[in-house]
Amino acid sequence: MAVEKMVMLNVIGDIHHVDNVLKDLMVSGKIDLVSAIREIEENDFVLNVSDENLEKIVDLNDIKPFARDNSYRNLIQKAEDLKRIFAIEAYEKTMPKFSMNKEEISERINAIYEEVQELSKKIEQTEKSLKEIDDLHLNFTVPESLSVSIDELRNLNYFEYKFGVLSRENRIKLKKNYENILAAILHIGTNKYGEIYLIIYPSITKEKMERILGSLNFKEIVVPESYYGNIADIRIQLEDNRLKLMKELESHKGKLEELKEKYEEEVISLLIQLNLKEKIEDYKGKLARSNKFFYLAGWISESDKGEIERILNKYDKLTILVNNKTNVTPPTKIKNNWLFRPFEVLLKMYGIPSHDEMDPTPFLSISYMLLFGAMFGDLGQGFIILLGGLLIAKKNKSFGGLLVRLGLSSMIFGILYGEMFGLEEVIPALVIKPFENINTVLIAAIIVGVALILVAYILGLINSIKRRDIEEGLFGKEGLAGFIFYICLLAIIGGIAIGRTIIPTRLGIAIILACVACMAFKEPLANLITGKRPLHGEDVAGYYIQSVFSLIEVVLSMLSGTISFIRVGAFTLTHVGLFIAFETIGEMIGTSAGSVIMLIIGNIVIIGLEGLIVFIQGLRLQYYELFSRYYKGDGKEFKPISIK
Amino acid sequence: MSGERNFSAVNTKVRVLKSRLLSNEDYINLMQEKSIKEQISYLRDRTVYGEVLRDIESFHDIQKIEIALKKYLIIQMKKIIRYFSKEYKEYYRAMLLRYEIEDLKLYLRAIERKDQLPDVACFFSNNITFNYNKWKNIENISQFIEHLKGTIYYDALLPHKDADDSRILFYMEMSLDKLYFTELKSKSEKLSKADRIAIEKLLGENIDLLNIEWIYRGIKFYRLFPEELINYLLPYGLEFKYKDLKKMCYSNIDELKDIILGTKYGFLFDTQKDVDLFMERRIERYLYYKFKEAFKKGNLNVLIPIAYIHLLEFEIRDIISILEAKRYGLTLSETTNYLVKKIEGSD
Repeated sequence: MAVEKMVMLNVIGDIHHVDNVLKDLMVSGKIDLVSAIREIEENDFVLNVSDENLEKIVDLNDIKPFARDNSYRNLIQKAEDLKRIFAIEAYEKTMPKFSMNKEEISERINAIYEEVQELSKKIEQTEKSLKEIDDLHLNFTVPESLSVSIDELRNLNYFEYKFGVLSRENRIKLKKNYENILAAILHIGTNKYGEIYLIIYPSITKEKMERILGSLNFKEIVVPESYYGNIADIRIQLEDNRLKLMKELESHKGKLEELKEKYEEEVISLLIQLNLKEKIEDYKGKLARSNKFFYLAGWISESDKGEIERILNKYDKLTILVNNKTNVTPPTKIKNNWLFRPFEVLLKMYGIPSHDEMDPTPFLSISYMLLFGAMFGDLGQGFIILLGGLLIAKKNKSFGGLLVRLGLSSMIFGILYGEMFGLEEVIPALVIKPFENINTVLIAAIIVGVALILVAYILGLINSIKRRDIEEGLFGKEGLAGFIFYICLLAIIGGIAIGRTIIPTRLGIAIILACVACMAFKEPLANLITGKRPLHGEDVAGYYIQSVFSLIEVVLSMLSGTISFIRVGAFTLTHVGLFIAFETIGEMIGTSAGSVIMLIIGNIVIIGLEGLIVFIQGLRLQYYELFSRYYKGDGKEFKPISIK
Repeated sequence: MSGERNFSAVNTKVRVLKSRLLSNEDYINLMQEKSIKEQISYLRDRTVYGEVLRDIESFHDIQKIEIALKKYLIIQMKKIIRYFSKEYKEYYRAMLLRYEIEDLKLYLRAIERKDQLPDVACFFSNNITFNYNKWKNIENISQFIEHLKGTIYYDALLPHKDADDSRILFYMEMSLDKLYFTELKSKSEKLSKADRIAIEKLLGENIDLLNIEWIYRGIKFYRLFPEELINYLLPYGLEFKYKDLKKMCYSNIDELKDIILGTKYGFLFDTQKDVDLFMERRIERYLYYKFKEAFKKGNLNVLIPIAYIHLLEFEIRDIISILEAKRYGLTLSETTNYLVKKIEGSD
């Protein structure tokens, strides 16, 4: 249905055009590159031998990969630095408006960098000094702890001093050994690392003292020479310095702001250009080159062929080859209309369809909306989900879109059931009130399930035909044999249920047995038809043991798979039932405010909890009961090259 | 939680792992091989270490073998850690620090000697982001310390950045050891009481022995001031109170010997053989028997994995000693003197 047919595009062109060609292809976002060297090695670059092509063919013998130009990394690093210095916020990666070459870009970036760097270093330096001052300030919080002036300490002839921090644990160690330590140790304050001490010791014991302090993990606090006086004085000087530095910082920042105004746009534009060039370098890794030409290979969808050729035709001396490759699996590009597109998320969680499979998104979308709505039918709650979806869509488009559609479906079923915010009396039921017709709802659920399973069988058959898979298509448990088996089984059981004969029981059983036989002997039968010999693979006994077990599984899964759909009805009922519980609690509270609060809480719980359960149960039915019958999902996603 | 639930699975696992340790016969076979090459082939083809030695091509570089063997140890450790959760996992993770610290010490020694930086088993905890290219250019110890910024090692090493060269290694190695045991201690405090006590007892002896060794070397070789020596000692020892340690620090070598001879660790000095040369091996052999005993007695408690890891570590050390001995052409009975595990006739 919506799996696009892919073709292989091979391009050979003048090496000078390579950047521009890649850029144009990135803008188009329509090609998924593959390794050109491998393509060439597999001899898939087939050219007609003509005068025009001769050179290109000869050059094929001299093929090599592109050497990556890493010089952009440094420039990007610099540009990112500028972006950080200017505190430029995220920008959008678009197509650059200008196109400059590397030298021009490099020149501009270096020029701006030069101009900004000095200022930025000054700012950094000032900030660092400020921090040092703050740190120092924190150490001297208790002015009265030391009245002696630091100048006097500096002027001591036979003694030296040190300020520093000791952890509490090390302080105890010091204390325990006081009798052996020749020093005066004064406590002068506390900071977040520990206790601050002033240690004064005779100069002759300097080395010993330093080693002892080292063993205690003593962290020295150096008071710069420029500070003088006692602690109270030092605090004042620190404060003065701080103010001075703050002013400086302010003025530097002002200047930086001016520079930012001047250069912001240019930096962004340069960054955008650099990112594009870097991206082109990345993609070049998949290309190949000879001395004069580049060779490019990639998948495009057949419908885009014309447009791509038009884009590429503006380059002269470009050879474009398009061929249908059959020996390799192309990637799958799925294309769906706006209604179904969000459901691709659910599909991708399971697997991408392979190129010879139908895209199950449309069936998935319709059946999933149907199941969700049926289980969670409520006009008001559906509307809330819809609103939530619209909100989420701003951040996550596909998931939001999914919620919007599910909410809509829920609203439609709400009208059919006559439910709004759990209340049954507000609007009339168009079709049925589920809670008053329990049996009808459950039976309807199974009938819907049967219908969906039948559709799944048919889709499975179509896929088998597309794959030309006789073994599975005709004799497999998901193929024709399984299909007929299922129909007969339904007819017999259904006949018993309604008390009428749809199909004579004996005939039915005969057909079923024939189908069973087909499934059991599917491999030899298929080989018989296609004329392949030997009839069995390697292990004959193993094959039959396996097929017996898989037959048992077939019968069980047909029945259980069908019954499984009863949950749709059950959740429809739960939905109403759960709300009745909240309503009852509300009535028990007795006040009208109480019941309103309970109604609100009830609705929140139901939307959150039951909404999630129904979401998962619906998915489970899709993946296990339906996908397993018709969908493999072992394809590879089409990932076009793009600017972003 | 009861020991059964915590430890039954892991102890079964560890018992299997332990059964793979080399037997006496393996030791003797290994020593009797003719060359290092044959010894390595023996290890590769006939022991569990084959899994890490498979890719070894050079048969001369014993250091490479050592790294591979240590990797084996770390792989086992990680296997064991998977059985634990929460506090216990934390504890065993902290045990891994020790190997990281050993690697750091290797680096420190290489820088001090101005050698090329050695390959190391790996920096595996999240403490260090190891970028070999960046580390390759380290020229001195201060640069090395700067590279450790942001890790727990930075604070421990920083005060010694400018220490005088002859003692810098002593200071740093002691500080790192202290860091390790402090980490273990703080992690062990969150374990159940019975486990904590068991660990404290076992590690306490380890700490005592390390302290004796450090005091001995500090006095004899490095001539540390007693005031600083005492500050480097490891806390949480088993036998010695602060008072005892202080007395030891303020002794000379002969007095220290006398003190130790009066304790249960007298075996360190009670010998006719070379004290200095064999001190470390004596300590290790003592611990080896302690861990072995802990393993045997251990009944669904925390010690069994710890004991296994140490036994494995000693075994790896022995293997390396055996290879080195072959390189220096020692005879079998000479070799056994240097092994942690006691093989017929060594003291």
